[in-house]
Amino acid sequence: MPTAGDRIKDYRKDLGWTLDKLAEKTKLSKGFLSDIEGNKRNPSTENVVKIANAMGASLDYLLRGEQAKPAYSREAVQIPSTLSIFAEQRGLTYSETLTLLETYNSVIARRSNESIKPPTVEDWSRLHTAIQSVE
Amino acid sequence: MPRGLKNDLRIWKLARDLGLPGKDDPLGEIVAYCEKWARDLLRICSCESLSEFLETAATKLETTFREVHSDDELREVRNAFLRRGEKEFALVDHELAPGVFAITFRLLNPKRGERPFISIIDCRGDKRHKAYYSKWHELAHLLTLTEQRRFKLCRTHSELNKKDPEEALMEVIAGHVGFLPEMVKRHAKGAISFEKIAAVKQKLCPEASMQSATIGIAKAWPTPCVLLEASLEYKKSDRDKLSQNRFAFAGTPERELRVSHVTASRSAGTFGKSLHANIRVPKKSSIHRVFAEDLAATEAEAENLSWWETKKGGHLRAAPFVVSARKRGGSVQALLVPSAGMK
Repeated sequence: MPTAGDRIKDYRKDLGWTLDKLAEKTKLSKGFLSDIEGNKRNPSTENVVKIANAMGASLDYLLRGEQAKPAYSREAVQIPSTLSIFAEQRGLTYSETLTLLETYNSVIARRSNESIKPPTVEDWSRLHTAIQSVE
Repeated sequence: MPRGLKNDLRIWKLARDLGLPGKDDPLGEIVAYCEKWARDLLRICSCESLSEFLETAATKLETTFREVHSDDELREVRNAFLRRGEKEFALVDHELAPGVFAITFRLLNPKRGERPFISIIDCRGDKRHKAYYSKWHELAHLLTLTEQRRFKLCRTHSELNKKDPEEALMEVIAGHVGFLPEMVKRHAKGAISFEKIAAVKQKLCPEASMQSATIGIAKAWPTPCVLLEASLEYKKSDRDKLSQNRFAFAGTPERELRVSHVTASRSAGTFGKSLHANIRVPKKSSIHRVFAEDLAATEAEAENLSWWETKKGGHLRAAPFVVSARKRGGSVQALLVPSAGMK
């Protein structure tokens, strides 16, 4: 069973970082980091946060090995009426419609000084065209 | 704080989703919930500055900040994520319209060990001044993203021309957590002044805008004080009449120097509640003098709240204070510190 130390080591190597670089970024000693990666010491939460901060890694992953949850729901899918109209107009399959909805829903926050309106048929069309242009 | 926010149904619903009672003051409960989260985090991870705390909070909330400083950089980010199959980036340049400062995506195909969220912070042009606050705004969203809301249609919708209550709430949370009193008070010593605010900002969050830092630091200052901004405004009743064009047969009212924004430190007590938006600045106050005589700033001067007139023609209850004021474009900023013993 991989430990936090194993995951830190793997992630660091994936980044192509040396222990020296991680030590420099975290301001933790190279020996201490080596002990963590070698499972000779259990890192405190504070130190794992420092390491995750430096490497830009997921804290949940480093601490517990939990991978980010996929962006799907077990709840009933609600397709907005404008998307439904657009899907019918374009003859999209159910799967294509869901992909479009999932893509739209992946925006979870934004800071704006303008009011945010529900997506129109034109908005779905723009998103669909943009996705198609990169596929 | 936007009017009506305290009683908005969505704020109440959010409080309940967060497991809070949501009874008399759901807004206060949510802000307290977020502040507690921040304090708890600060206990686990010592941070020297607010900037470091911001990065730590982003790590805890599993997002990565990606600043974009030019159209080319935005295009690079867009293309890099599209190549990874992150289709949500297809319209990112369209999403980051002139009035949009930041946007947070949930990655559809995160790599092993990668954070599930990414917050694109638009630092193009003047938007760069808002980057610090925008980051806290995005974190406020993630902090209040409950399991119930996590998978729902989370883009907030609102009526046209009405600022969305949840977005307004995020601004409030950003203001509280982004300038956490526990962090500010480490460097905030003695009576507040504009110079001290600038020094604290430099130590704790040099990248924050002067405007947001002045408000945030004044609010978190450990000793009683009030920060106010005043500019030429119509009396509220006149403004309403003007908007309805009801001055057709009467002389048009004139604008006067009035308070446009008030921020009281938490320790300001009743003194902090005395002044409110739209109250007229007394002509003998140094705040008025800075404006009328176009002075850059004034030395601290002793004044009294009893100089200020109420709407009904009376005066505010007497309370001596020391005020220092400075000109900021078309408005005046002033720091009021109640004299010893007055709260």
